[in-house]
Amino acid sequence: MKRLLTTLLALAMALSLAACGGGNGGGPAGNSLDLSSAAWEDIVEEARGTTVTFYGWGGDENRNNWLNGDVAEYVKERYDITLDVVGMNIEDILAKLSSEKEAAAQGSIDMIWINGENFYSAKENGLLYGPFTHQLPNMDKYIDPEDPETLADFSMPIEGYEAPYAKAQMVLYLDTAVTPNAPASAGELMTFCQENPGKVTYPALPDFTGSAFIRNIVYELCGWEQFQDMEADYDTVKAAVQPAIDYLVELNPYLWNQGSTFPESSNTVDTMFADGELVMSMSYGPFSVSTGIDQGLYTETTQTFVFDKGTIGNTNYMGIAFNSPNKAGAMVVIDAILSAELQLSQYATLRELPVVDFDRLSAGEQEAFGQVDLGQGVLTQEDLLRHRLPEMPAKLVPVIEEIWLNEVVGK
Amino acid sequence: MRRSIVPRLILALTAACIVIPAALLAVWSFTARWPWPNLLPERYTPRTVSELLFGSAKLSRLLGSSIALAAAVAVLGTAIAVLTARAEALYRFRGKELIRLGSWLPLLIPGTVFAIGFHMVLLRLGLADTVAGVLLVHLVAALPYCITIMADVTRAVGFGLEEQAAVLGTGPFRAFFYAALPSLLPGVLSSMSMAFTLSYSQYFTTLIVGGGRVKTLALVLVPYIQGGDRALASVYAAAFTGSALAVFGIFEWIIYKVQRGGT
Amino acid sequence: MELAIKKLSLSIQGTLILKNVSLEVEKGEFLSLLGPSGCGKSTLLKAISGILPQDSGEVWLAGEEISSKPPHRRGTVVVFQDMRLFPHLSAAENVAFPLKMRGVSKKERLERAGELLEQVQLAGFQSRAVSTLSGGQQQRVALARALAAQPRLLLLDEPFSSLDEDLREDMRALVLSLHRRYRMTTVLVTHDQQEALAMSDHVALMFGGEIVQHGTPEAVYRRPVSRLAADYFGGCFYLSGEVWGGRFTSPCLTCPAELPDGPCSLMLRGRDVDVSVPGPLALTLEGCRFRGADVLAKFHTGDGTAVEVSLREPLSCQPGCRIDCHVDLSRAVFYPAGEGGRP
Repeated sequence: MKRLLTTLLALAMALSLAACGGGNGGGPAGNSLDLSSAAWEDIVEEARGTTVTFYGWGGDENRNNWLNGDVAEYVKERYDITLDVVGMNIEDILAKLSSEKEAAAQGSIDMIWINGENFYSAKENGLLYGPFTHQLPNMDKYIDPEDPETLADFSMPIEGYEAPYAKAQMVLYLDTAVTPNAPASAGELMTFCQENPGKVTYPALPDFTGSAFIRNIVYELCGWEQFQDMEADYDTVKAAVQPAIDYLVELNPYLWNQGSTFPESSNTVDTMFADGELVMSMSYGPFSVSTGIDQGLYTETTQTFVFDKGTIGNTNYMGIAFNSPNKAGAMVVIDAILSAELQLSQYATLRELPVVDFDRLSAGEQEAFGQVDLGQGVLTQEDLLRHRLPEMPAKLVPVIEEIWLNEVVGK
Repeated sequence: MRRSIVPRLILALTAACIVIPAALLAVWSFTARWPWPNLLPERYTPRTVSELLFGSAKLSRLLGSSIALAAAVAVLGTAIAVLTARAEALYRFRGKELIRLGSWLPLLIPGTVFAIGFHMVLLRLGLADTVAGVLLVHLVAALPYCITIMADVTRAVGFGLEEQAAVLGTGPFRAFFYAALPSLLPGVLSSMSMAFTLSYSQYFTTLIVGGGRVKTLALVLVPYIQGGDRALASVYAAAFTGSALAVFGIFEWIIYKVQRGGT
Repeated sequence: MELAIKKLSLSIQGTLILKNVSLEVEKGEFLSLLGPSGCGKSTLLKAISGILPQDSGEVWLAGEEISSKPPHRRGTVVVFQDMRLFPHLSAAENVAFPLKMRGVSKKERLERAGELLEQVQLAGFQSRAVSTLSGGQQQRVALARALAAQPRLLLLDEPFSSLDEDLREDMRALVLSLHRRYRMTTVLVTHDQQEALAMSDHVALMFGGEIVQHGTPEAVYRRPVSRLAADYFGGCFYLSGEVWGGRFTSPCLTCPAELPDGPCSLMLRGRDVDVSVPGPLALTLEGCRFRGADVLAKFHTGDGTAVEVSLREPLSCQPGCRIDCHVDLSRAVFYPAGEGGRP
């Protein structure tokens, strides 16, 4: 009797647990509208009063504040959309989407902050919804359709599966009070390291920034055009980048730890620079030095610089999850972020390069952009854009990382 | 014979291991720039504290939900553990060894495998991305500790007092509550604190199972640590530790009051 | 009768501990359950109170069968050897516990607790923490608590064995005075023979899970039902012989015996032997030993049986001398055919 009762009780508990779950906050359970053929006004109506989730890296509190502040207010006022920002690494986001795809489960991710190899793998595996950018009015209004970064992400065709978010460019920086002369080329960098032995290094690949630095060196010494349509074959690529490999191996003895090991992330390199262990650092955020100086992280004499031949720039994008419960809402928010108003606010508050095409802005908007104070220790937008090189195709990136691991580390 | 200085030295060393990092954390919370080999930071900033208190993460709501979740795990986990420990000590039944091993499994399985596997099951049950799902995974992770603690305490306290209460005319539930439970309270406190800490500091399981929809303090804290902003990470860590200690204090006070309650 | 146990058997983990036990206790009676360690007396107590479930048999209390009732509804209160006071409650709170469970108001129950504590000679100990009390004091609190529960049957499981000897005397007196006052049916489990014989209205002797003898203390002591029972109380010696034609004959002694013919043993105790009065029993002195309150004189009979007699003074004669002693044959107990058998 006792045994029967306990079994029944256990069953009841298990059933009630299963029954009480499943509630996802916000968002309609799938849109009744056929989005791909709907008019924009209908999409906006569908999205009105809903919640949109935006998943992306949460380690930058300024960006978090901007999203939860300016952007959230903008979409709330205009479209009565509640924006829910969730901090999660892109690897975890893609893992979650994969699990959900496999289990054919309802999702909770609407918008994703994504680019590069991750976009490549997500698109290939059917984790993204699209094409949708052709339906966004601001895409048409402000974004240059001929810009290679609108058409391809790391040379991978976007085909309307993601919309531009902000532009990034690789920059280097040092403290002019400690090292007054910035190297302007790979050759000058070699001399610089010989003068400051053990005080320069770069993040170990496959860190995003470290990988970009290596690609910059490759561009410096091997040119950039040949890579735009190269085969992702190990030996082909190795032959092409051999001058860069030789250079890096020659550089190793003058690097921190004699090039036998490298710090594991760009954050580590940056903190070492802030602590004075290194005399040079690098970042993908072209105006990050001014924010750093404002926050007291860097000395006032810290200065950004790039190579004369230019540094790699790329764009960050916004995508929509394949199983987003609120695709209409996601499209509206993405469109909002593409507006001149929010791009200006992003430029002024976060000091990130906007994606809007300058020529397509109205005179008033152009003036507003021009008046933004970028702070100390940085280069101007024109300077940066004049020294900007395109990214390599995504599939070459892992090959170069492998080459680096085999040929450069500890040699 | 003079009292040996060694125990005192060991105590001082242990205390230092706790106090020095805590002090460093407090200093780092306000530091903008602290290059080596300076003994003290070069520049201070109040940015981090204002970010903590007034930033968009809404600390008060975050604290509230994190503490509520962890407290629920603590109470549920301990309740289950008390009953499990009782069953283990009191009854003989088939499969007892199997259940004992089963209660240890969450400890033996690597954390990532555990979280992802659990997530798959919850997806099918429709509990992924919900608070209930996160509570469940935290509970399962905490149970091995709670059960071990309560098993030891239950065995030590024994059932003599309950037997005595029974022959004095007390029904089984009241006998447990009035006669045995007061002696079990120190174990209950340990178990609750352990489960609370475990749930409060969960990152990966909350992330995977909660899908980012269930927001806890640990979830906000870890990206800042990964992101290299040491000052902000420090101030969040200080908030994390401070709030946990406050909750422990409240647990102890409650248990103390119950013990004093007596008749 | 108040308590009746009928053919109760109980096994623990496959081993049969209580074998078909039957016992009757009158209302208001004080019964001792006496036996060596491991004979099952504590187990019987637990079966009566419902702590252990029985395999078969019945337990009747005040005219109703209580085997199906859980322990808290039987009205049988147990005072355990390890006292089991609730450590988180004060002395008065412990005593008041049964009243609290019954829903008595705080004021009333603490008042009653105070009264009971007075009766066990612990007046003024109400707010004392139980961990600060001595063994004897703790046992008294346990007693008071048991009384507070107003039991229909009071069961005491070797309550004094953890106490010092002199304390035990006081405690026995206390228990008896409480028993007299409340006239509660009481069963005391003990392995102390003196205790059982001195305190009880009846004694039930228990060996190996069975009750071998039940009667007044005199009956159990003077007429033990078997050699085992006799040896349990000790101090006896046996003369083997034969009964023929209503007469018992042994090398040392002959006397009338109304028993069937056949081999037989005669049991006598040292105290039944009087060395100062001449008589038929020939004993050879081995030696005298001073024991404080008495002197123990060791003898042996003609056929080598050892006899020990307690004397007030040592004997004047030397070891090896022979004395013919008087025996009180009215105390003799016969055991036909060697072991067992009723006299």
